[in-house]
Amino acid sequence: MTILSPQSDYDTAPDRGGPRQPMLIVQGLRKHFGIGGGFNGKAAVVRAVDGVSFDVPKNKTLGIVGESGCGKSTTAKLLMQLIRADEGEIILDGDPVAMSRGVSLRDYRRSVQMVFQDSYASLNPRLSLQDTVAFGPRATGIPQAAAMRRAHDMLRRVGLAPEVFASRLPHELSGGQRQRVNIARALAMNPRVLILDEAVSALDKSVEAQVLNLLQDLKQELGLTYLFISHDLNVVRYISDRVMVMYLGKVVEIGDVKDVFDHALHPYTRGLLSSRPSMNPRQRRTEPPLSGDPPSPIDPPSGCRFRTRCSFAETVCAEREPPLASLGLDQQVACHAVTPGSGHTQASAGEGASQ
Amino acid sequence: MSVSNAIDQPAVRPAAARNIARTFWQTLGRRLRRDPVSILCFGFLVAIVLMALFAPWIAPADPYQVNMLQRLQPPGTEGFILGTDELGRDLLSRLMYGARMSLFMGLAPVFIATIIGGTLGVVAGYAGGWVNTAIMRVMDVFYAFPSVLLAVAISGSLGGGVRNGLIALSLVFTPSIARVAESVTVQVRTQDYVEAARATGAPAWRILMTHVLRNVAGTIFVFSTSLVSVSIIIASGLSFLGLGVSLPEAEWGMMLSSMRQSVYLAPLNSVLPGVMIFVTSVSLNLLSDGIRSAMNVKG
Amino acid sequence: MTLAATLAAQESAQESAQESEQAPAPAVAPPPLVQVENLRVRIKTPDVDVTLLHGLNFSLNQGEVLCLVGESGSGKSITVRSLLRLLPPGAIVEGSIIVDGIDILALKPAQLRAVRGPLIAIAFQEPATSFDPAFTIGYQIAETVRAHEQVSWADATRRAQDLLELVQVPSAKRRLDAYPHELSGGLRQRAMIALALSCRPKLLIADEPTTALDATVQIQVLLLLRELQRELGMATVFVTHDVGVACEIADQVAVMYSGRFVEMGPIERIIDAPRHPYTAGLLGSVVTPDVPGARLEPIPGAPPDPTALPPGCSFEPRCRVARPACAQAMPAFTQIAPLHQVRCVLAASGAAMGDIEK
Repeated sequence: MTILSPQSDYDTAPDRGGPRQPMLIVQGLRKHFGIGGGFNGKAAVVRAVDGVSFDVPKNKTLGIVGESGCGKSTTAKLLMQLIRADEGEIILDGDPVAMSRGVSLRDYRRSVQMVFQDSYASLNPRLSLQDTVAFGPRATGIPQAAAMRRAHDMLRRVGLAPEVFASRLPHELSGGQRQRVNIARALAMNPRVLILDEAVSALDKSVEAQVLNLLQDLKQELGLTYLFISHDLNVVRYISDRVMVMYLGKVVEIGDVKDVFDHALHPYTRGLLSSRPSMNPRQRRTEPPLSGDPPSPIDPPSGCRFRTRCSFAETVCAEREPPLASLGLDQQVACHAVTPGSGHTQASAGEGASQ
Repeated sequence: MSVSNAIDQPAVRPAAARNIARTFWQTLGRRLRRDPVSILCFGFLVAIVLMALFAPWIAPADPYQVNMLQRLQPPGTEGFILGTDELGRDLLSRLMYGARMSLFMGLAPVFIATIIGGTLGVVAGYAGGWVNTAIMRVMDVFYAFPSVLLAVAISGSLGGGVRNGLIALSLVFTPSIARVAESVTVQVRTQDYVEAARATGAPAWRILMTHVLRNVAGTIFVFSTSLVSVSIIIASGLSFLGLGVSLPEAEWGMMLSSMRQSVYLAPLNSVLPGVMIFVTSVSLNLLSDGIRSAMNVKG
Repeated sequence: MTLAATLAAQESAQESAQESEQAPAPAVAPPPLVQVENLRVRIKTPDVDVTLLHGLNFSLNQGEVLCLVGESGSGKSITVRSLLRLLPPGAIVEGSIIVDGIDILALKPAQLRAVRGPLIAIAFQEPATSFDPAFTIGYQIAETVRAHEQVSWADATRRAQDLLELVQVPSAKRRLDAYPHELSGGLRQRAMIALALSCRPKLLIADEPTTALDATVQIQVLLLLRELQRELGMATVFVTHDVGVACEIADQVAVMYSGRFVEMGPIERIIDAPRHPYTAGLLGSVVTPDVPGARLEPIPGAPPDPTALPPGCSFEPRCRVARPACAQAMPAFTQIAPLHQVRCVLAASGAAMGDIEK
């Protein structure tokens, strides 16, 4: 791989913390948006991300799932530092970000890159593909010729022959090809972490499968760590090592992807999982597993935020917010019904709700 | 076909297998060439511009040569193709020379206003926050006055003359261009590709130059084009009120003004400058509409 | 025998596909509600000249759901929009579209407007295109009712409320006064379905109506559509790119590729034993829960440019089992079993796609 050779124009930042150090540790991330204010004086607050903590091991993929408005995309933007968090700490490979001793914001941004969902909107319609991909390297001070060379390498790497595509404009490409350009642009910065925000959701299924294969290959070859945000649970299951389920700005369940998908403990996770189409016309769904839409994050329910849609809700769920408690080897759940000693009638049985 | 190389396939077999990669401007030009109205208007404007540029060489007579014996000759008179004005000057020559001043008063203020207003608007739109508030509120103050009234007020307080007319008109157009520039910049700024550029840690000026300007310039340009005709009309209005160009300079607005007393004696002669203003501004507006709709393409 | 004729012979209007397999064929079959023959759509403007649909034939009985499945650009949307003549400027439509005995292509604009609503209604992917942001949901539904029927405002409003209740919008009476932007995505989608149903259409066209929704809401809307469809006995043409959605709602499936049907048949048959390599590839591209980490086997490449289709079978350049003959001529759409048609030279050999590859 010439791109990765030490002679290349700039290299991936060294692996400082060793293989056991998580690539990314996020602690207590919080973002509230103020809206309105208006004449009645009381400004509403959207609790988009409300105390989210997780970590991502090196060269692994963390899938983030949840309904729209659950804070997945805000989390991505906070991690990208595109918007500033109200609270919380991000630790990249052992170094706190934007602290006096840690990695600078500039280095952090180079190490963490993002692929957006909308392949139309995320490419400048007036810029050729090579200019789009070369923009990042140019901005970090790489000379024009070297940046161009790098752009061509990256385009080739994502399966777009530079001889054919380098000088094309975005509207001359198909959706899948545009998404490849988006990936190339992110890779041109030589990142260690790639945040994929619904990166394959808008693609046709056959193209989606092509891009997923590409992502798997790149992860192996470049030793990347992924944060894969998607509402498609099957895709998350396919690509992730760990999965985090979010509901109204909170983490409700997190753990190894196999554990969570095979033995989901939180009632929301189970509802989400059984909302997937059956893929069997002879066994169609007859009852919607979850009713209604998620409530507005402006004024979330007290206690457990899921209780308004939960069939196991009891008084304790309205009174106290369930903490994220470890259950099983590598699985944490925020639900009174499965946390022993929570006061929920099913809790004494331990896993009563998981049946 | 083997399955293992599936990943490389799209490169070999692009869905849009066109070899002619058209740039944005090529597409625009191709569409405009198929629009008869735009072509006609473009033709008119080219003719007027050529007429203005080459007036000293092609004008049949001296536009300032007064001849009291030949006052208000009707069009078609021997020696005076379009007749004469109230002082017996050759109308065709005066219209040709007048085109120079009128076009200048149409283009120059809009050009200046586009530079100033465009910069202010783009900066306000991209920076947001208090910068936006400061710039845009000042613009709003100007914008609150009707443009003709503002132009009259400014050039009235500065005094007459071409230079002051130019300043007045530039000031009149700056706020509206700034507003357009600001609103398109705000739209572009929230696009994912600008976010992606920010995510690379690139400095703001580089993002502005590469990603924002290219995408707002077209809209601002089209809007400015539509102001040229307004500028000609207001400039003519200022001259009409005696606040713009001074005598004996030929300028369409002033010609219209000075011949208005003769409208009953020689109606055809009197309306000719008005016809020129009308044709020029309508052509400009239609052409800018044509450009606008031709630009309305994906990418 | 065409599929249409077979369908007509086998099914009475009210029965679902499964039941009809056991049901004895009625003596006199009612004519199908929708009869489309040799539908061709060509877009001709100064910029483009392209044929998007190359002769489609299908029919649909009352109470049935036909799903059009395919990748973007395959012509699904154009097909359903032709049924309402909602096509971009420069579109030339040929063939015949008969809905409930009415020749849609022969209608004058005013007659067409009268047909939209009571006979054919459409629900889009994006509700924003159906609702005017300046008026309340209740007003817009009532207005649509009044445009087609002689009823008072009070009656129309009551009807709007009934419709919102029908599509399970909670506290429907209050939502009548809501503006489109005040509703969540799922509610807006339901309100749009209510709008589409407001004139009790005989044919509902649903153009990816659940694609923009969360899975949790999507399944609710799909179940709702299925229920409404059973209750009201309307026929539905449902466009989707998601085979999973088709599994939940379809009786019949038509798989589209480059403006043609390549396979059409009952959903169970298509899922169990796809006979066209494209259908097989489409099913193989669906990421299912069973294969975490395993390499996916997507269809290689991308659909051809509609302005430069290959000379033979449009799918030949991407086909794993292509034969030399495939590059020569487009295979015919052949019936291989009752109700099941395939456009592939290999389908005649009788093996399901999986067997051919092995």
